[in-house]
Amino acid sequence: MLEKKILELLQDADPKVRSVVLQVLSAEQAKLYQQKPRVSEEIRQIIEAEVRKP
Amino acid sequence: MDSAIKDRRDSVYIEAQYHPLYKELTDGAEAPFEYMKDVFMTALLLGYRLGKPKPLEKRHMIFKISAFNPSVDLPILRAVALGPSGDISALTSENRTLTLAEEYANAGFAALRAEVLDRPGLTVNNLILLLQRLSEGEPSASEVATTADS
Amino acid sequence: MKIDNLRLINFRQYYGEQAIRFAPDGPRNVTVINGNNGAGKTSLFLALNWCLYGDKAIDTPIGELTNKRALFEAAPNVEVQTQVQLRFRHKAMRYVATRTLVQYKVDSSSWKALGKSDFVLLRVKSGGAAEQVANPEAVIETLLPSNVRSYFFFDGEKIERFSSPGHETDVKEAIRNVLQIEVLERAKEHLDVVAKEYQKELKAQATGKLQEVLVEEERTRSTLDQAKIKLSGLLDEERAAKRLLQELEERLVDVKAVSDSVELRHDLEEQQKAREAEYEQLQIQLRGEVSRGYVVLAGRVCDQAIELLDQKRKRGQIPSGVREVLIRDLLTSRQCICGRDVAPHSRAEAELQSLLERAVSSELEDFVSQLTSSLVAVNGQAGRFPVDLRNRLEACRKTEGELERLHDQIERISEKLKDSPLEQVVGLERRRQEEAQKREQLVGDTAVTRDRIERLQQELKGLEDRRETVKQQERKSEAIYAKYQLARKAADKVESIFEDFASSMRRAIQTEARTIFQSLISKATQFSDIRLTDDYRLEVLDRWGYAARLEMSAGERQVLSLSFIAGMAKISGMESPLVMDTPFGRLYSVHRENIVEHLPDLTGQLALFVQDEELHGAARRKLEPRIGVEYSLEFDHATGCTRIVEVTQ
Repeated sequence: MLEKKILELLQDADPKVRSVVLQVLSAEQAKLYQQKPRVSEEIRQIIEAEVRKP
Repeated sequence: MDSAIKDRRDSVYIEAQYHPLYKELTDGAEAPFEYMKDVFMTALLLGYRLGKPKPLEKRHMIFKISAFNPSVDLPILRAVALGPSGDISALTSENRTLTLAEEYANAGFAALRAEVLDRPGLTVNNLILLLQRLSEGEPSASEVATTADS
Repeated sequence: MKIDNLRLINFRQYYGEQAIRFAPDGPRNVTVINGNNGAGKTSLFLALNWCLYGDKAIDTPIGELTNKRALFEAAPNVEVQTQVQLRFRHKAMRYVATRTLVQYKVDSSSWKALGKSDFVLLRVKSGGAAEQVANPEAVIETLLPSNVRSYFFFDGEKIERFSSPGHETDVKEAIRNVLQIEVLERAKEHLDVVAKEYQKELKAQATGKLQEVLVEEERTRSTLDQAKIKLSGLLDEERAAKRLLQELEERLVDVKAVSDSVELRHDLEEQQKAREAEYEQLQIQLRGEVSRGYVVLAGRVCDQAIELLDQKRKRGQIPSGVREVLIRDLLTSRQCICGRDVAPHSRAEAELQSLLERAVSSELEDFVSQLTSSLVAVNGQAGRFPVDLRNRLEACRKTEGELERLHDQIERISEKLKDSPLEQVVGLERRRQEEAQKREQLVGDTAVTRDRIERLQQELKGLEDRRETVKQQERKSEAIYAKYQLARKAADKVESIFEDFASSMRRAIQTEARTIFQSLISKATQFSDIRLTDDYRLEVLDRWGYAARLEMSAGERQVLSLSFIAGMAKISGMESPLVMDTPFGRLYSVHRENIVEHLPDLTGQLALFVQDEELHGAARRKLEPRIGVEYSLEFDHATGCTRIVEVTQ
């Protein structure tokens, strides 16, 4: 239900932006319960991978 | 129908020094005009009544042609281009039609400024009064005055 | 999560191995566990929490978890195992969660725990084979996050906190946690950080114009962030002010002597708001019409043109045009009308070509006649303009008059209240007027700040465009630029969907909670509707639409909280059994019957830990058809241990 709503709200976003946002949300969700999650590095990787795609 | 028209253009220009005033007339909820092209059309029709087009010294792009309402504004522009002489060939050149419109708008803007901006009171009220007076056939103050200031 | 079975070994007062099976989802989805205080209900609760979430999740020190009798019977230095095992299903997978603590007896009066408890999570495949799950704590967190469990496993009496005044943060936290709004917040924050990092790198590499733009952009963005924070603060203040005004209003209404006047004033104020909205609309329409009023100046020029075109047409002066099509045909067929051949590169061909250039298509005639009818239409509009304008101005004047009248009436009532012989009325009214002024001030400040934010956003947009243009000219920073841009856009996107997401979720929870509330609350109550405001207050409305304050009984508050929790669970899609300890302790019996009837429908599985006297009579009868499994906790005073006994129907 929640994912559906978020997908709906991302509908008209640029496809690369949408892809990054979904991946980052997923990473944040997984890391939410860890102490001091180190998300920055993961976000950079997500962005770099997306930029490299055509 | 539009294939009859040659010399297309896509931008409309005004006198550069008037640009800040165009902005003043459209900026904010209390401004009298909603769009720049409404200012332009009003100035144009005022200028046409004064009778003397005024060429632009320094051009500034103000909006694209697509801003004109095709069922109201374009016919008026063409009526103006036709002018008192009725030169049909003027109709088919978009460039000529627009240039003439720009020159009349340039001439009329001084009057618009005087009647709406430079009078005391709310600008929107001044505009209403001006439209009411002119639609009832009374000449505008600037038409009565022999000099239109520049 | 659907629980199948809870097994305890030497856990607190449960000696040896004992188990409870949970009624499955379905028509008989209720598990009832009867027991008086001290019999061991709380321990079962603890067992559930401890198993899933560990030593830190419970208040009891782990040294005290082991059954005393087991420890007593054990020989020195022999290990005694304390264990809780939970078998459950989640989305077609079966799991076994086992938490074990080992203690050993040092001597007859002291025990020592061996380190912390150990947790193992097994995933059972359909064949029966089981594999151990790596990172079991994280998996449990995804099934039912620990910060959310207190909304599903809870003490019935403490649950009313959500609906008690002053607990907005609890409500907000609950929604944030269950709906994982925090995930969005963190995503925005971290993306923002990464975007700023890329920007720094970009700035370091960029030269000249690009650097200038980046610096300005950074500055503007920071000013914008500050303005947004300010706006958020102002909005909070505004909401608080609104709430205070409402309260003062309600207190005035309570004073019988003036309640009529106060209610009348409230009505008039509502009318005033409606008229103001109308007026605003009229103003907007007026402005549009005036802006396009130039059409009224076009009368002369249109008339002139129409006449001219007409004359020309009559005199045949509209060039009907040598048809373009004809000339093209001649050129293609290479033959003139007169029969002469038109050879390539001949004079005849050159003449035809030049005719072609001057040829006006037949469409010119159509163009001219269309122009004439358009001009006639414009004239029509010009004719209507003065009348339309007059009508619009008249409507504005009329509304202005009405607004003035309403204002006067409202003023008169307020003056009367201020002069009331009742001291409390005077005091309340004076305070109300003060707060109303303060609120107006806040509203003004908010408008100014919003305006500022809009300007800054426009500036920022302008800078972004400039940045793009300048960027075209600088090749060097391309790689970083792309990353920066993507990070920036992603951060902005999350921010923009955040509010939408939060408010649509709030609305969804409100709707769901309302349905549940209406089914749970006794019909005899005066409360008809509930509301979840945008500042996270859970309110109940009486039939006049006023928020009920202190009149709600503890039982009614419980029902409200339950509705909220169940609504939230449904919207979040989080599947968990509802485990309630002493759910009916403080409920008025009428509410109790109603809740008992509908509660089992709110959730897949329902487990109720009840005291002996809690569930009897009509409520008991209503619940019977839904009970799947029932137990009784029998406490033995001699041994200090509890036995779980299944009660068969």
